[in-house]
Amino acid sequence: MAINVALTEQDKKAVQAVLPAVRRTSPEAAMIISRLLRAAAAIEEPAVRPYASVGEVARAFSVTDQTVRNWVDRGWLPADRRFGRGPRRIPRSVLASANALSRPRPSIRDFTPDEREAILARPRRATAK
Amino acid sequence: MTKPRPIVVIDTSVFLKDAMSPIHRGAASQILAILPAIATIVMSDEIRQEILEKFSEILGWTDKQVLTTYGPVLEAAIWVIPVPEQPWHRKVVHDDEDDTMLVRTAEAVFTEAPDRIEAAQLRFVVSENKRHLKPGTSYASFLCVTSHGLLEAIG
Repeated sequence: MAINVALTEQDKKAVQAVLPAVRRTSPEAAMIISRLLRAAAAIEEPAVRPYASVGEVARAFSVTDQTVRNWVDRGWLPADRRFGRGPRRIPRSVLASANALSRPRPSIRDFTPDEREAILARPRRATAK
Repeated sequence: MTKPRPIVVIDTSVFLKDAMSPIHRGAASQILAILPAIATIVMSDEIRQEILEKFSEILGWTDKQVLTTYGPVLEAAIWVIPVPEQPWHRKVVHDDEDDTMLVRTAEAVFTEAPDRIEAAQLRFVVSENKRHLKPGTSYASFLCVTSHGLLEAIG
């Protein structure tokens, strides 16, 4: 069963403070708590890592992993590999636009496909020169 | 071998298509997310002004809402002053005088950022207005494409 654990720093300190006592009374329970703490840390880790994986970038931009590798190989996306080998590491900062555009837009009324086409095809303002 | 980043001029219609899309997952939304990361976006005050005016007129957005939503796209851009209009500019855009600002903005890169334009092998004007900027036509080595066409070209 996958559990999405999100703990605050305060939660973590509180749990770690009682962990020795739990370990003395119930080693099994202490092991479970330790596992949960590690799971929580793993969930939080991507948010603080300065690098994103090829897969993360691909998901953010809704493209395939191979497309991201192509962009890196062409020099369009900055990336490096630890010690010159291993997986490509891409600065997380490249995801800024994807993150910004993943937020909800200001609400607008629903347009039918025909209305959208008409708006996109119509001439510009007469003053836009 | 490292290739310089593509140079892309984005038309207002691409921003509009993204905003009007119910789930913002179409090609227009995709390229607005991707381009700041992998391309050199070229903007001019004329294009920016048109984006603000169209969004206010059609969608009722404030300038602040537009700039907040599309901030990363505008911030990533290089800004140029479009070249003055010449008679031949209109031929490219099928005689719509207002569409010339896109090709005049594209042409300005040759004088304002010559190093980038010389290096870049891929140069695009991306628009969803297929009537005035027919996909497949080109001007000053800039190829007119739709968002979908651009995705295919850079994939």
